[in-house]
Amino acid sequence: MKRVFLFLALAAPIGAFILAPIGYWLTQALSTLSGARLPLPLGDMLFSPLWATVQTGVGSALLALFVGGTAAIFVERTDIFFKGFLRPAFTLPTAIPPYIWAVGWVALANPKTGYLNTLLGVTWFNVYSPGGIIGVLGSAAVPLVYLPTVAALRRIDPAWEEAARLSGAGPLAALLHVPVRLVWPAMASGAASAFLYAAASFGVPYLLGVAAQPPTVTLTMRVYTELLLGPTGLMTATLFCLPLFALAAVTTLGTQWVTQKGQVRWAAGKGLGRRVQPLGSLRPALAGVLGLAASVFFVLPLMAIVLASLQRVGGQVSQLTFAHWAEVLGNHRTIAALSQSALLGAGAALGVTVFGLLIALAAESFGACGRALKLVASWPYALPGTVLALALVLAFSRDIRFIFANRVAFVLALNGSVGLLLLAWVVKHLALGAQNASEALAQADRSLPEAARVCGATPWQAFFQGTFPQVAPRLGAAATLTFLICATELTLAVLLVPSGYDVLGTLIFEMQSYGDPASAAVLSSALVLVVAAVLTFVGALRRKERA
Amino acid sequence: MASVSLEGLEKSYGATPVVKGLSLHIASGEFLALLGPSGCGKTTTLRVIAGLEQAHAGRVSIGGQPVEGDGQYVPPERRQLGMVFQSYAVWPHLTVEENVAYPLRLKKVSRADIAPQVAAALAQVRLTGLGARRPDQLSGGQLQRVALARALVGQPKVLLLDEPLSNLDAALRDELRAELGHLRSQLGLTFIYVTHDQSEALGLADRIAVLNEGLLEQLATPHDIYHSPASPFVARFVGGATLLKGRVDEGQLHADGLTLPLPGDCRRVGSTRSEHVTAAIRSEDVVLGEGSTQLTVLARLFQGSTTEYRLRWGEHFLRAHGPWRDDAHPGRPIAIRVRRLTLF
Ligand SMILES: Nc1ncnc2c1ncn2[C@@H]1O[C@H](COP(=O)(O)OP(=O)(O)O)[C@@H](O)[C@H]1O
Ligand SMILES: [Mg+2]
Repeated sequence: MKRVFLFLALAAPIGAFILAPIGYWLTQALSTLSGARLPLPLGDMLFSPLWATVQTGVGSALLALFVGGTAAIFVERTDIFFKGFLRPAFTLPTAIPPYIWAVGWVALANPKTGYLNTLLGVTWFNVYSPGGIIGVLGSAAVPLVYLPTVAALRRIDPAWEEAARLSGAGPLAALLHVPVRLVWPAMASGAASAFLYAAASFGVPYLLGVAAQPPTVTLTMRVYTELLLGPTGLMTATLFCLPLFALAAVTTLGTQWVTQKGQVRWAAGKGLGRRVQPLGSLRPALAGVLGLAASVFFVLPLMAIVLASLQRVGGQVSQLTFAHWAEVLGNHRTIAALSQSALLGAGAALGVTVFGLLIALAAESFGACGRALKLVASWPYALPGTVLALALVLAFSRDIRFIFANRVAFVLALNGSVGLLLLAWVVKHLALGAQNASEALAQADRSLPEAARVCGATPWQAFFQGTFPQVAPRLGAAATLTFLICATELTLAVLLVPSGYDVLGTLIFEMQSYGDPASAAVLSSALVLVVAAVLTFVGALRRKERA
Repeated sequence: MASVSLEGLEKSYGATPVVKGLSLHIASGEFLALLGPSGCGKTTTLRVIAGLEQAHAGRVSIGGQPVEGDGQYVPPERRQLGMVFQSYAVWPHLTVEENVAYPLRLKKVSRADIAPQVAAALAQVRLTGLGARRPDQLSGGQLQRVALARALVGQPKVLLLDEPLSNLDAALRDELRAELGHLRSQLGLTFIYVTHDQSEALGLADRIAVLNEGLLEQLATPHDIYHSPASPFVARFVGGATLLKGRVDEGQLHADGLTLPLPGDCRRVGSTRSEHVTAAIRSEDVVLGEGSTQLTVLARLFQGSTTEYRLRWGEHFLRAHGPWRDDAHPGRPIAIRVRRLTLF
């Protein structure tokens, strides 16, 4: 009885804040479809943004696959130079939100004043183009391919490549015939993540696509512009979310199918060596190519942001000033946005961690029901943010009254409040909390809480005495990650912040899109510095823990 | 078939030297065992011969052709060697046939010629009929045979084996050891066989190179290694001898508080000075129930065809092998005589 009550107490919010809004949006969208008083035939209306979205997604996924996959193979399996630079360069870009990379690329490659274009005297590369969108999103998504590929490569015995060498294969053939053949499912699922990352992105296509000739308009951009129109737009926006939702579903299911089909089983070796293939005479050339790629994709845009933040408007690169920094960081609007982001981000991190831990515990203790609960709670993470935001807007645009036993009543009034944004951030990132908590619980030593039970502790006391201290570091890391993601988030925020209210992401977005790129550069540099500081701190903590 | 020679080979990992100036000549068609304790640099030496590691100094040549040294380095794929790895290294994404066919495919052998050569190699290691299996459907012993077939199919000049039997259980190990011996006599190939197991080396090899901490201790036939060890290390590692340090005085060995009359069969190695000697006594050379020296029986371990005794005096121990004796109760004193020993 008590167990049933506990389970329902967890299932109720998941039903109310995940299943109900998504279900409501789907019924609304389908009824709009059948009730059809559409401005244009449905096919004409959807085709062009869907095509732009698919192009963006596929192009970015291919770029991320090529760069991330190649980098992973050479950094992990060969004696290439510069590993100390290449590893972080291919690992960290996703820690910085994608619109920041767009800010950097605009400074580098806008057609008139971009540093690269002025330096070369011709418009070498116009970032306001479909290619620009793909370049920025694809390079930002490189870690989504690089990291799973590296993880898969570390399970491969180096003796397998050596056996290929002894059989007559050169270094590149040995890499191609053995590790690449074994890790392609990991690469493919990384590329699928990159596809979704790009297809669901809003900030980068908006910042670069609106000014393109002709303009590139993706599905997420259409949802945004429809919502700006008010109630009439809301109904058309539900329709633009349908293909986004379908793309995500197909990609997720397709990835699962591919990884299962492509899985090759082998006995996990004990203590595999970390020996690598000598590249011989190819070593300097390959190191140069990868080092150059990492510098162009990940170092140059950051340098451009910093330079843009220090440059006088219309001035020479040689006349640098901190005036913008003082002005922007002292501005009350900036201060308000920064504190709102910090506060809401911390709230979201807390919510994700606590609720994620509860879900992980439920998945352990309530059998199939518990696992189903975790699956549903993890669903929004795989959903494009735009779809989730629209579903929440739709479901909570009216106040909802709850009355229990004819007595206790409360009103859920999320419409037009930051509460809705906080809710969206928590819902979207619950999977991070639940997954990290599950993995931490799986690694925790069970004998400690059992010892506490034997000494007479209640289950809760035993949990807090025995298990919690073991999982706390991992939960802390997950909370920090969630904080960083939410405090710099744009896709959900741009649809859900009440008017007259700023968070960091929306403020930078507004500055960049309404003609104040210098201020946007200042805030972007500050953001990158904070992210770098937090990551360094977390890294140092982890190293200390291991030592 | 080809000879292999190493000259002054040196290899370090970081600041730690692992191979310290190793010189060896392995004749064409010879079966050489590299024998030594774990960590002495056997695998490293084999990997340098294969070209998987580059030496820091020294020369390697295969079949008279220099492949390493003097700024020259021939990569492994062009050395025409076969290698069997300790972990087998059978590729999990290919079937048995595809694994064995791989070296032929790289040699651009035509499809029509690959099938019979693969079938012949599989027959050679008695795997006929298992060609379509995936590696995860094979036992450890079968994986080992696949690795061997793959190493042989390209008709290498030299076959390198790194502890090929160490991951197998005892019965399978005996069986495969016998098969390797048989294969060897059929093939007439140069073998370099790394092992830490003295019985494998003694049973299979034409000559054994005993390595200790990256240095060559002795290079000789199994018979000589066993009967005429060149150093205390070889006597202990290969013969299982007990080492005693002491001095020789008027036909008596005084060592670690024990006095033993020197037997007639006493081998002296090197310019042993009488005041500082190391005596190596093999367990089967200790005769129980005879002689004037009294030791205490610490343990008596029945092993079927023989019995092992641990004998003690003070803080020191002596190993002995012999027939079962009722009177050698643990805790009781017993008389011993040493019928043969080596002085270093
Ligand atoms: N890749 C490596 N990096 C650093 N040290 C190594 C490496 N490979 C081997 N060693 C060290 O070199 C020594 C000799 O190793 P190895 O040749 O594998 O010995 P063996 O095969 O005789 O057991 C060992 O101390 C080992 O720890
Ligand atoms: Mg070894």
